[in-house]
Amino acid sequence: MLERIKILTLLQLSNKSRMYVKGSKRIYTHIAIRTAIIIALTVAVTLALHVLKNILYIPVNEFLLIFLLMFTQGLNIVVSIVSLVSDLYQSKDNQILFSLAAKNDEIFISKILVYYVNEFVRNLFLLIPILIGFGIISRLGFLYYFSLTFVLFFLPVISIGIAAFISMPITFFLNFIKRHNLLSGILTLMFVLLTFYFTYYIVNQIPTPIRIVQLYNRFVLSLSLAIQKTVKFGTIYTAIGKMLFGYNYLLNLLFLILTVSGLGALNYLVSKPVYFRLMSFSQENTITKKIKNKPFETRTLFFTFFKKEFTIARRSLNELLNNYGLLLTLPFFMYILNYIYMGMNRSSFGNQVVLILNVIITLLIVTGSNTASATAITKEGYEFVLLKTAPYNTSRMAWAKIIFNMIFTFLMIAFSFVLFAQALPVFPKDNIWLLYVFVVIVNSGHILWSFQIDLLAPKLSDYAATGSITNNQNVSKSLSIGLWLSLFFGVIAIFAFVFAKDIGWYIMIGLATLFLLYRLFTFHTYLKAYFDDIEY
Amino acid sequence: MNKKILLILVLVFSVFSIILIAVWGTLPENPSNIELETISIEEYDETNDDGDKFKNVTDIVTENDNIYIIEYTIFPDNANVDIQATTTAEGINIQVDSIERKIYVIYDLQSITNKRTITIQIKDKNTQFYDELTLWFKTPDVIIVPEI
Repeated sequence: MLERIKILTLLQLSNKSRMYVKGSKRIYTHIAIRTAIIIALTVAVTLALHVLKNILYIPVNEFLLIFLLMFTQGLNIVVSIVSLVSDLYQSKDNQILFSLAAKNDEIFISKILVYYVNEFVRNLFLLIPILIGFGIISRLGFLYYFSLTFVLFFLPVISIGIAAFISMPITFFLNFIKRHNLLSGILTLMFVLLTFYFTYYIVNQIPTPIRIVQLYNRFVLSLSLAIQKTVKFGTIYTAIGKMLFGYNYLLNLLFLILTVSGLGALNYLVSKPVYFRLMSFSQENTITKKIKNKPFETRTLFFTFFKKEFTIARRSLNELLNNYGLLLTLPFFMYILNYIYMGMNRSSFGNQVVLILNVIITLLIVTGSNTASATAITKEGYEFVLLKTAPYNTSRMAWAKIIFNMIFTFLMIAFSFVLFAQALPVFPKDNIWLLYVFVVIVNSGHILWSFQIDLLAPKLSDYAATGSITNNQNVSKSLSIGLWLSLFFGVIAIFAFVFAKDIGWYIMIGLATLFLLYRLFTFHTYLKAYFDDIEY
Repeated sequence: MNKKILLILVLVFSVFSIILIAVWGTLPENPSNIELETISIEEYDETNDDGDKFKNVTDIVTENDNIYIIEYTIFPDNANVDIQATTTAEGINIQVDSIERKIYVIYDLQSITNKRTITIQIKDKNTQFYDELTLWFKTPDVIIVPEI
């Protein structure tokens, strides 16, 4: 069994790690560079802790170390859950590994070992700087540095042990919602609403009128108290922190060893009966569908393409979130910033500045969410060639994609503004809805502009080869244009709201409408001229 | 340019926007110039012959709860004060909440295990009026001996 686990682990490690020829000097360069990075990080963390202690007056004591351990390892656990769900259950190499002469639990253990090796190396860049930095600042002795050596080995075991255990019910849940798209959508909406409510609750704790210096002092105080109080819930990390500082050393060490052994045993026993089943249901070619729905026929070509957009969105929620995720942050930014703006005793000039800043920040976020249009044709990939062979005016596809992008963003923006208006009644209602109209008009123009970028230079073959839009130039251009548009309208807003207050909104909405009409005209012209010439 | 950079830009811009309004968009402050008459710590267990205040923190400050909160009062209530809290003890961090009128005394683990006795001084920097409180882990049958 052990021999098989060893072979499986080495097999996967060689596949996932950078390999060097035996005796190659490049391995020494590789180690030297990484050591230099760790030393530089250690110096940086030591300086940061010095600033915390002597400038911000945040207590740098055992409790801060325990908090840092909890925070970093908590993040590690979250990241590990996401990675392990992918590595253990959805990885493409499962199809090869499960065809080998090895048991399910041996494959499970080998995958965990591979992940442990990578996690251990990653952790060196985080734990060594923090722990050594702490030791230097707190002037700790030999026992601390001695204990560090085995803590460095044990901490990844704990985070991976917890993550591996949690990944099992999460995979079960993901497999379930993958087959129930409506439930997935409802859960996402509930998550956004709950997060907004939580933000609303937290922000409302800020006492008004807001004075920035007092707010800063309050923030530092609350941060210090939160750090110190969180330690009560640290469980194993509290024990590790106390052990490092020599408090009940042997007792805490025993607790650490028992926890590590317990996590190992728990994962092995629970995964043994469920791993194969969870893994096989996570593959994209798992067949469970029994009822075949009758295809719905649409009357026009436009609606065929339009319906296709909805189908794609429903089937690939991750991609939808990737495209429009930034838009979900809009209500949070709007609410938090405006609560702070409104909380200050503003002058009349201050009120004008609030409007100008709202224009810029809202446009920045909204125009950053039109990347779906900037890759609309690119994402057709190889299929675009087939699409164009259809004996219809396929350029209507472009309008279907644009209308889908517009409807989706308008709804999301409206949702943000409704939440904003409800949560912050002191903000003038007229301004909220005039800002909404303005943002929707500018955003429509930006959607057309983004689509035009992709229309003129689609990366069909790149996407067909890689299936990814990472580093896509059209996305970059769309985001850059959005940034410049936000700044441009920000400058216009300065003139409109400071020098022509009475007709400020007329100027803003008028200019936005002109911009939209111009973009509409150019897009229509380019679509007619170039769509037929697009080649793979 | 990608979405991560854009999000960072939005965050940076948000922080600058708050500073911008705080600096140029707010009305001038109207500080009260009412002078402080007394500052006092009301919650303590006993005093010695010199009138020094003592508070036993055994069972209040523990290795799982390392914060002790001292509440203070000022008179008149709307006096213009600038409160500072200090201690000479090592391993103790002090945070002042001047809105709630509370002093948070944050112990480190060593101070708790060594049952360190500490004295906290609360002073108004404008008038130099102050009050003091000694926090200690009282063991049974200990008598406070006045300084000679």
